[in-house]
Amino acid sequence: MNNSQKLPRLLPKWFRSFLLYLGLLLLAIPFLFPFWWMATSSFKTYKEIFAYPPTLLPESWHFENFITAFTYQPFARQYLNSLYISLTVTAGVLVISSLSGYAFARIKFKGRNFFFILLLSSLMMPPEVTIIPNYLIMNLLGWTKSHIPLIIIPILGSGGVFATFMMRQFFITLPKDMEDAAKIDGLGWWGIFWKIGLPLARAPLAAVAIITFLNSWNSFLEPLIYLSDPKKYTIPLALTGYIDAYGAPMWSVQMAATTLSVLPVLIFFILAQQQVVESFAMSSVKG
Amino acid sequence: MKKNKLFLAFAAMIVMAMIFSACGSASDNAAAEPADESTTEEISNEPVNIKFTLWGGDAHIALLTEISEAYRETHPNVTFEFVGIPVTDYVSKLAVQLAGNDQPAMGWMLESPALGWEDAGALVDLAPYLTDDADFNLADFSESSLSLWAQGDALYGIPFSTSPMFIAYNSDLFEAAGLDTPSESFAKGEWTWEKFAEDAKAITDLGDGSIGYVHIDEISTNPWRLLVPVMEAYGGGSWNADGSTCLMNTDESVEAAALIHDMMYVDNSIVKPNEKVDFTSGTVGMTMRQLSWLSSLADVAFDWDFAPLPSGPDGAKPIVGQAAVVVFNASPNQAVAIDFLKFLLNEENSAKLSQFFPQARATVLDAGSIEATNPTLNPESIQTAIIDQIKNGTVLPSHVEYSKIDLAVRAELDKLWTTDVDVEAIMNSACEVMAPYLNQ
Amino acid sequence: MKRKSLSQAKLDDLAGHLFIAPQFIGFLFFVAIPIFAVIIFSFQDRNLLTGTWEWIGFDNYSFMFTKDPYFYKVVRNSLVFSFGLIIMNVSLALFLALILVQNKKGMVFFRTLFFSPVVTSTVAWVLVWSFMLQSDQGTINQFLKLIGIQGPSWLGSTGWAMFSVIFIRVIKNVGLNMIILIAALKDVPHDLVEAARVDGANTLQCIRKIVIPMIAPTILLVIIITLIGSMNVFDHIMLLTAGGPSNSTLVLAYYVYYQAFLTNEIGYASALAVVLFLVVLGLTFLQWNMRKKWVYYEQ
Repeated sequence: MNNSQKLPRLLPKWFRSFLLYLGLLLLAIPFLFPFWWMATSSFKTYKEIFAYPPTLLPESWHFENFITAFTYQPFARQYLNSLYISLTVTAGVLVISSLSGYAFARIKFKGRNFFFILLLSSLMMPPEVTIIPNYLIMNLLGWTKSHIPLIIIPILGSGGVFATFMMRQFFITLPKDMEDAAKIDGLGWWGIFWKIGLPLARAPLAAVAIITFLNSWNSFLEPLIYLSDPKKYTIPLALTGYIDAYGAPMWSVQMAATTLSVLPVLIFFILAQQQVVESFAMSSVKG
Repeated sequence: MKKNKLFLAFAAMIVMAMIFSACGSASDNAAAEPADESTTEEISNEPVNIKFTLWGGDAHIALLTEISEAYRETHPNVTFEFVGIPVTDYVSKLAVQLAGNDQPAMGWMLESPALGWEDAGALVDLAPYLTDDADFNLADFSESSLSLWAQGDALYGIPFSTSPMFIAYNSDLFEAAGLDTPSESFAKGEWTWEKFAEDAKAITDLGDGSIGYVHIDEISTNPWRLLVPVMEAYGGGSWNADGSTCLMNTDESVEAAALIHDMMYVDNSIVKPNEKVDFTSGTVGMTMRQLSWLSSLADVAFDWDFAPLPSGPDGAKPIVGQAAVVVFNASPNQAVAIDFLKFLLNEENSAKLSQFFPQARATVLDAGSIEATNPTLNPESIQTAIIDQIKNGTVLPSHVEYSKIDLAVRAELDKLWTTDVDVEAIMNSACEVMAPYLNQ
Repeated sequence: MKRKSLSQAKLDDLAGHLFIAPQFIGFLFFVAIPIFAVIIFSFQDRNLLTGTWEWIGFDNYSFMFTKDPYFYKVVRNSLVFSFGLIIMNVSLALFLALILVQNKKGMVFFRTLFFSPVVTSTVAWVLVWSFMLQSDQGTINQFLKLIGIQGPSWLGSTGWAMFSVIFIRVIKNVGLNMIILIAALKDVPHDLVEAARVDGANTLQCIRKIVIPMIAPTILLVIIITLIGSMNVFDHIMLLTAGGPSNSTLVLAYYVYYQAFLTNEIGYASALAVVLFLVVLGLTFLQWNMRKKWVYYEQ
């Protein structure tokens, strides 16, 4: 045991660094390889995807897979559906969670703990539990063939509660004297929230926005239950729809569509990664 | 029938929606009650939109659209909306849609859940509308082709596809292995499941990455379509005709299952579960398919043909995959849907459907409609592997409790898909878990 | 002046209630009422397809506990999945965080890299992995073959399927936990660690005795987030294994869906959903109580 701990110290520093980076690179393979496979497969022919030994790069580049992705299903439309649903949900959650997160953190009102624990308990609830009655309610309201359930339930249901929790965790760290000063200036709660609280909350708002957007962008069960018209599909549902009439997946087309769905978010993340990571770091999710 | 508040409110919503959109007459709005006295009802001339669900591809929708356009010439008030649902989610999505407020009026129905849906009262009994309709000529359908859809005097669906399973094969690979093709073996009277296993092994043994056989779908999620034909040919089966006795643990069924298992794990000549290999890639010798699928072989780079299913010790047991057009009880537009069903499956349009789906109508079948609509296919194969098989074919098993039996038995059969197993014990436990759901 | 007419306490009450009103009304409609409905449905024999229902008292529950051949297996699978996921996810996240929190060149690059699956859609991720994990043709096993190992059928054997599902899920989500832990690690006071160093503690001892206890609240948070997420596994199961082979990956979330939308037994599915809810609630409660044992620094 002592040996294993002394060994690194015997090695020269550059070699230890080398080992560290090599280890990290090996560890990164399962994280990176799927992207590589996804992107290259989207240019391969159906046959080449199954080729043995597998090819790392396509033998020839088949852009028609991307065209088929748009002709086999209304993919552009589905893309827009996902985009506008996710953005609407994100905006809605930001409004609602910052309001109630602020209240739970800063305002002493009757029943605060009771309401907070009640809300938190819904955080524990898997969506499968309420999908049946939610479906019947949406049905009753005549919304099952629309996007409304996919927007309204994530905003108002248990999905937004985690966001509230995050916002509360941030607001609770703000010093109290700022509020007192503002009160002396004659600001009401709304004014304090709007002029002082919210401007400080950029980081947690960004973190909430990212998590909410991703959850909505990825959501699969709800669209599976609520949507039946391919024109109304969202991306995850559309991706599973690239199968022929006999249930066999059209791999290369599916991967072309998959690449198209992953790429923008990934590029956005890479460009903004410093801010993304910062926002998580600063938003006091940490405790 | 008890109805809770939700359901009443829901019905009220429908009524309101109808008033607002001024569509559908009061008589159409029969909600969930069977319209048993409306056989002579006049079909209204008000605008009606018929939502038609199916699991087919673009080519199928194009053909249906063409037929529906012809219907619209005489019924300009009717519009059609063909909704494709991936076949893997078809049944569950359909159930959800029917519980919703934008129900399909009619659609395709798979064979396996058919009995359960009939039993649940989800489908309209078509018998009152069709039996006396001279133009439709129901007698043109053989009794066996309707058996799955008939319950006593009631008739819950009309098959638009009575399509035998056959073995499609890659002729190039058979040539490379120096084998008779399945068609040749069939002509010599040697086309048995044992020969099938030998051929599959020979192709696998080519050693160039080729493999003998790939199953039509993921074998672990749907083992029935491979096991049932073999078990039947050996003289066993899944369960008996009235669904009361399990047959999977008979010696014959066990022998059949052992053959498949050994092909997969001793010869390695069947693509294993969770392997994504497809016949169209050209590396697979054989697959079990149906007519409509052959269109996806249009631009493959190898020669292919198709032959009947092999026979077994109990003789040839053709298996027919069936799908029917049904009308849903939940739909307010039943009358129009039934009228369109009569049109869609009349003699003339049946012939058009033959392009993809062999028809159960004797007149259409005998008139050579499959050959006419599929000029690229080998006419001899059409005769031996399709037409000759339809008449004696049995349908894949269905059961009122199919979804529960499927879940239970699949879990047991999963144990087959590994090396070194006791096939007999597995088939016995398959029967054990099935027992609670069988008809008493 | 209007404000004089209300005391500050009343004003606070009003403001607080108004601020949480949107969320709370949503909670009533989309959480409280549905839960209530699920409980009601669980005492009914209700069929999605026929739309019929009747009261059957506790029959669904007695069937579940005495007759349903899958129920106990499903509960066990769900627990195995949740605990397996938590252990693998949190320990890997902590390991990565401890390495990547260092101020070395390239650490930011690796953070981005390990985080990138988080922003990828689950369906896309799962589709790719289902292809890579095939038994013969799969990329993983072909690589293993190169070094002379015959890989198992990852998704097709009862021994490996659950592990594979957990693995795919961990790789997908570990980045988020990693980032949260890195943020917490940055707040660990440097002088504490330095002091321990001076006392002769090696790296491992430092981590175990000082760093881990300092970030224990964050670890607990990460565990709870992961636990809650672990119940939300429907998409992975549906697209990877559909509960097989031999029901070895049949978990509650998927089983509820199966009973509700494939066998159309809404009543029974509701009873299962109630149990699912209770299981999650119980697990969360358990962890919340356990925190007292090992969270030293509660903020």
